[in-house]
Amino acid sequence: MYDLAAGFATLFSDPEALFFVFAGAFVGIVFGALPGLTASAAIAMLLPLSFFLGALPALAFLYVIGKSGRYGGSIAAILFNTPGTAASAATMLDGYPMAQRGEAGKALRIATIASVVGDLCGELILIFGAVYIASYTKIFGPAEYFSIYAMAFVVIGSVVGKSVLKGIISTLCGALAAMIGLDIISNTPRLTLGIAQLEEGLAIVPLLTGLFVVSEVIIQAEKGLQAKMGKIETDQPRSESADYMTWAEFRHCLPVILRSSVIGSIIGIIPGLGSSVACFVAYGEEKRRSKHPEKWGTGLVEGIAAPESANNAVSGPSMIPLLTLGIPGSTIAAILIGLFLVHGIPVGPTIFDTPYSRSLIFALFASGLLGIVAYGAIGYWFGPFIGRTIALLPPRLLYPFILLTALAAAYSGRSSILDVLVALVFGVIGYGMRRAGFSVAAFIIAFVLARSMEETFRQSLLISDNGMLIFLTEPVSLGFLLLGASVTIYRSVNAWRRRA
Amino acid sequence: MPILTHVAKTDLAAAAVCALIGGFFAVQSWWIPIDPHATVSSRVVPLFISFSVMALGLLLGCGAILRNARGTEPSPLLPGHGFHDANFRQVMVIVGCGAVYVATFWAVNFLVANALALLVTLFAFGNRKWSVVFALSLSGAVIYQIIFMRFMILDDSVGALIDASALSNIFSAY
Repeated sequence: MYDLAAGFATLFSDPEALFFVFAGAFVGIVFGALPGLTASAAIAMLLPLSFFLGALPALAFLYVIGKSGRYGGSIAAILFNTPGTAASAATMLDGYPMAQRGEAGKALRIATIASVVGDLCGELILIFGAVYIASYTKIFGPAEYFSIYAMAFVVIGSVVGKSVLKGIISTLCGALAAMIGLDIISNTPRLTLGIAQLEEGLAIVPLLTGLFVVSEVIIQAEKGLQAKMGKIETDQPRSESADYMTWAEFRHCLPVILRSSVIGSIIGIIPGLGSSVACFVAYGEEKRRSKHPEKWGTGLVEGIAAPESANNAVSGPSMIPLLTLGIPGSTIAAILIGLFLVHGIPVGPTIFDTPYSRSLIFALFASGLLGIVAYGAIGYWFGPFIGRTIALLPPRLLYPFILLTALAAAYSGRSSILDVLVALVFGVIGYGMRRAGFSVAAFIIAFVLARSMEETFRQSLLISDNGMLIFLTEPVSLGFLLLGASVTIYRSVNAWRRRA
Repeated sequence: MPILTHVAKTDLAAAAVCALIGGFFAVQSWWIPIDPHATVSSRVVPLFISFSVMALGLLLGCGAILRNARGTEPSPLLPGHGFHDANFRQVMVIVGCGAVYVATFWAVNFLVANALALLVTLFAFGNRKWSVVFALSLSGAVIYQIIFMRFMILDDSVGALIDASALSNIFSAY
């Protein structure tokens, strides 16, 4: 508690960080509410800007965008019947029918309250869980770390999509992209095709903008910009109760919100499983528990509360693998790794050891809590207004600017035209991956992890007397390898049974 | 053999691409110079990953053929999955817009690249009101120039073919 109080003190003594917490809350909501664009896309475009900020403002900005972006998706889901993010797909099922009944204001406010409660639960689990777990994991050596990375690779690949095989191929392709550049130990150029500029390796900004933004612009253009923006319930008669949640409704929803927050938090800790899974699991579970499951999908308040609290509860716990093991549990955590390294902060359990990084992390936790309150307040009072304003923006004018911003952001990372080309190429690759059922999130997470994984693999063999057996003779290492294998086998058998 | 479903065709195409990528990078990895004294050479991990991509790609292809033969393919495809409803012309148009941006950036500079790329992208997205298209392209390019070159102080390099720095300096020079 003392650390958290010190974190708040650090945050409130830094006006720049405070500004970026509120800016992040607003930007995330707007990007999340734009159909097709996700918090990851917003972070990809704004990542270069954060390089010019101090460590706390930069991290707080992107971290809060990640949170508010998940919430912002509910605005598009409720008002336009188009999920702003995949995490809001389940919200659409009951949110849009409520909007059609003239209760869009109420639906948005339920989504806001559920998101805030879910996110707070997840954030508290992160704050108190991460330090506790990190005290155990900081004694791990390279062999244990290699096994953890290997486990993360196969677990993320297995759970991230419907096909285990395509998920694992996605992670391997991300790892292959990370191999481009100079070898970390011998400085030998690898897979550079003789292009000198590639010796520095592929930068994360063009990859992110390509995979998340350019590919989305291509998809939107391909659809002929049929986003259903503008279909709002404005012609419906409205009453006072149509815009606000009643006390009885809140009491009825509270157990749903709390149960779904727990579901979301548990799912958030598992690397690779994200908000999109959490929202459907929570929705399904609450529908199963309901006395009137047949009414779900017709515009029930619980149908909004369950997925929204679950998808936001994922946010905090998804940082636990990052802070305790150095493994990004989500795309946003993967991006944050890059930012930590830019500011010279080593990621993993040792982050809590040095006074500077410890105070920074607790200030980041404080930023997260303040960010939740900020996006909650913005969403509660201005959510309907933001939604209606976005509906006025013609997508045919909006998407060209999004494309150009993405390409300019790709350039801004290293001032390299080659990076712009890389973003464009990965835009096409991302489009193909999404169409063919591969996972761009798994690709990015593996891209971030692969070099560390290779380094620990080679370090382990350097110190080993038994060669590769070191990974099997160390009990913790063996445990993680078995865990990875078990999850992969379980998922594969499940997928096979579904088909049979 | 039964007629291939669209899912099977998509998976087979993906398998072929994986095999090609894996094969290409396996060859590239093989050419990485090695240090004879190193415990693990520089080529081991890239080679392992390349072969794994190739092997899993082949497995994906075999799985697609087997499932197709047994008739256990999941169908119908959801919108946005598979290429049955893809509009490749529109994809190529957007890629073309990006290519215009890269080429103009290389040949001239950031400002002109933004103006020209915005112009063609706005047109490609169906905007036909030329006054709006021109106004947005020019004002957008100037805003990008000010944000990225004046405030973020990025390298506003001179084009390889045309030096338009006199124009861009109007908006970004201190």
